[in-house]
Amino acid sequence: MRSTTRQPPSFEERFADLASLAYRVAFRLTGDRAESEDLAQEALARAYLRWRRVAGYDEAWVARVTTNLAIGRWRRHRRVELRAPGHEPPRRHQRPADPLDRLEVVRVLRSLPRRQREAVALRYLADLPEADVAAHLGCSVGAVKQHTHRGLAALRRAAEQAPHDEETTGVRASR
Amino acid sequence: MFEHLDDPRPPAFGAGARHAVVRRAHRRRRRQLAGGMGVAAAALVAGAGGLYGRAAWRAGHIDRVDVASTGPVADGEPVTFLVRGVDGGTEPGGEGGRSDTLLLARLDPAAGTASVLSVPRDLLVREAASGTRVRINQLPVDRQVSAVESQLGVPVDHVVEVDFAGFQALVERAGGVRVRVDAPVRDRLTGLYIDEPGCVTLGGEQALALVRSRHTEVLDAAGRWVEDPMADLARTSLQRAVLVAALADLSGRVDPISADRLAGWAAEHLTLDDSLGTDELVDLARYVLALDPAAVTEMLLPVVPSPEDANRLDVDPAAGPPAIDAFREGTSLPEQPGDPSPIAAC
Repeated sequence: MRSTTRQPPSFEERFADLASLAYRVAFRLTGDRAESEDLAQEALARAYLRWRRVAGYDEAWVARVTTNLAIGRWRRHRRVELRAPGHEPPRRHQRPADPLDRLEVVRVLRSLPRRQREAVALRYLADLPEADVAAHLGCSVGAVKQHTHRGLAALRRAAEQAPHDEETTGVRASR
Repeated sequence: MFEHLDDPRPPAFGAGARHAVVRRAHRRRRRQLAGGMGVAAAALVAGAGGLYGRAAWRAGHIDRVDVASTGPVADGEPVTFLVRGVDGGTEPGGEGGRSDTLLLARLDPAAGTASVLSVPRDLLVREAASGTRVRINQLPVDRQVSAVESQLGVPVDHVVEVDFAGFQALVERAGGVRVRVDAPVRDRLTGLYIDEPGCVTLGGEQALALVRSRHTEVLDAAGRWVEDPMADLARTSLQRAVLVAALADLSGRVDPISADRLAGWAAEHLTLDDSLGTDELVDLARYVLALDPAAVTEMLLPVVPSPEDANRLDVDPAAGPPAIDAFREGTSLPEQPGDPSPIAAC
């Protein structure tokens, strides 16, 4: 997939692959086509602006930025939900067969320590090989294995718990 | 692992999509230039001199603490910090590392603004593990972050801790902080003593004695020293006053020597969460230095005495939520009703 020549590939050459990658990461987190296209567009626009810095590790960079953007937007959605006390937040785009619901994935990813979150996002949301994840995070392959192992364990625990035990929010709800 | 979450028919990204991305990038670049002329100027100075390298190197020596759930913020997005004033552990009898003052600061580089919301240390929050309600300043830092996120509903991106000596140095650098007292004020435990009513300029030591004061006494009309229950709220409003005074002093100091001094101060007195990268930190520092002090808004989280204990506080059910919403969304903070406290910024 990646060019093997010394000269880093141009943004134009890499665009289709990177946009597809960003879309896949965004859709796994949001489940919404329009939003995923928008997130992919935003992540690619940011990559374009600093292409020379990004070019060496473009997939990991785009995957990481997309993950952060998607989680950031999820936080904004959550804020909207907070304003309507007493209403259960809508379980968006849930399919009964989902082994792990999207909201759970995002919630657990958000709660993981940064290294675990980045390792899980790059390894499993972006499907990058362990060696690439290690190179991007500046750690060993063993450390990547350890971070993803712990992160996945947290995800599995969340999947086993009751789906509606999200910690509710105080200020408005408690009064 | 997550294949079940995939879009079965993902769109193709062709030349049309690429042109849309490039147009968006150019719009974003224009907006960044318009929103941050000062930042751009600072970056130019940095590029020309290269002396910022030393400041960045010193900034690389700031102590770090691992705080779960903090994480890097994408370029240009608003950043919210939980700022903790902590006892450096050097005070006799001090409980090292406990947060004595707490505030939330939100920087919005795209809008060119900053807002500060101070959180009284006696605010009651629910402790997730036990379900009991405790004062927020009794929690360790990561649980403070989750209490702020889940119970106030404000997402926290990063944590910064300032020790007391750092606070004192900041006040001294800013040439003191102006406060107004209605009557003589003292605290025999922290050494605070202001004998004249009116506006006074406090140096670093007295400013620290004031913001640390828990047993503030005010001289009443009959000449007796009485403890003032509003003093803790006054104290928190002063923390914000000091912050704004320090910002006003720092603003425009984008030259490499000031940056180096600031980085040296930071390396000595600050602790940051380890998810704040040096690049992000340097960008934020440049942003803060270029910030117009008039674009900084600040307020105290609206609180009421708790029904559980009159010495503890709850979020004001009427005024609290709109203030929190305004802070989180970066809209202008609501006007605060007249401050009844005997000490105020001047």
